[in-house]
Amino acid sequence: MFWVMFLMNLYISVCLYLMIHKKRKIFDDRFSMILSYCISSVSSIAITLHITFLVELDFVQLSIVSSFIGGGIGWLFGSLRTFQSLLAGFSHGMIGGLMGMMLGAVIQDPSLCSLPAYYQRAIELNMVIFSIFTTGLTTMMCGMVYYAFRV
Amino acid sequence: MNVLGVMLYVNALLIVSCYMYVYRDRTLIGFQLGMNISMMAGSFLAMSTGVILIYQFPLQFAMVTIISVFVGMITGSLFGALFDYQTLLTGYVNGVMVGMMAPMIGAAANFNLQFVWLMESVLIISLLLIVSSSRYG
Repeated sequence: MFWVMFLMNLYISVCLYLMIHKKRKIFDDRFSMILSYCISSVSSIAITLHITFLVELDFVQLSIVSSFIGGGIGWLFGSLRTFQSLLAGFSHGMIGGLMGMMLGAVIQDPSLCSLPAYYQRAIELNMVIFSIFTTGLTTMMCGMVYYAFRV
Repeated sequence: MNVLGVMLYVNALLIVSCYMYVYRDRTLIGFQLGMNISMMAGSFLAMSTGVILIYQFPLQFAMVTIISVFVGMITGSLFGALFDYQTLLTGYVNGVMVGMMAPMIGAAANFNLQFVWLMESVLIISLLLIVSSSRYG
């Protein structure tokens, strides 16, 4: 199930990138900055959360991988127009990647944040809830960006 | 008396009165100031709400995170919708990110009651700054 959600997030991000890449001649630099930082933060949160659920690594390796992925997403979405959009997308993508990794680690081990310990079943339920929720956030962001080209 | 519920109610009253104040002067505010206003209002309200809710319900981590994300999202979008569509997007994304972070910070603070007072004073100072900037900006 997490593989399906992960591939769905990846598919939404790639579709959004192709759509923006096709229309990159028509927007100004302020709009490109806001667009890159919105999409890179939300989609890097979702993708690194699913990577934390799927891959069994320890904390340091996981943080290195997720910061590289977040920075790469921000770089990709920011490099369409000018350098200020690249800077905004890179910094917010890296922040989003690290935050998604932290959220996944806290969900899998609640005593990391001194929350009371759950049963194993409650942890799996929380993982499913957060997976669906972040996919919904990415879909909502896609709809808002699609609507932004109409306004 | 339950202090946390009173704090939540005071937060709602403060943010509604601040919204009405900014709504009156919305034609005088440019897009740079509008972008910063929407970022600040959404993120600090989401931070305060998330910390208060995780203190009150420490067992429901998932539900508290979802509620605080929605609070930040809706507040940032409402403050941003006064000015422009792009300020709406900015407030929306900041509310999402801070709302995801806030219950983790509240749980990592070991349920200490002074931390809530710190968050409350930060929220009040930021709302005062928003009001004064919309007045003299």
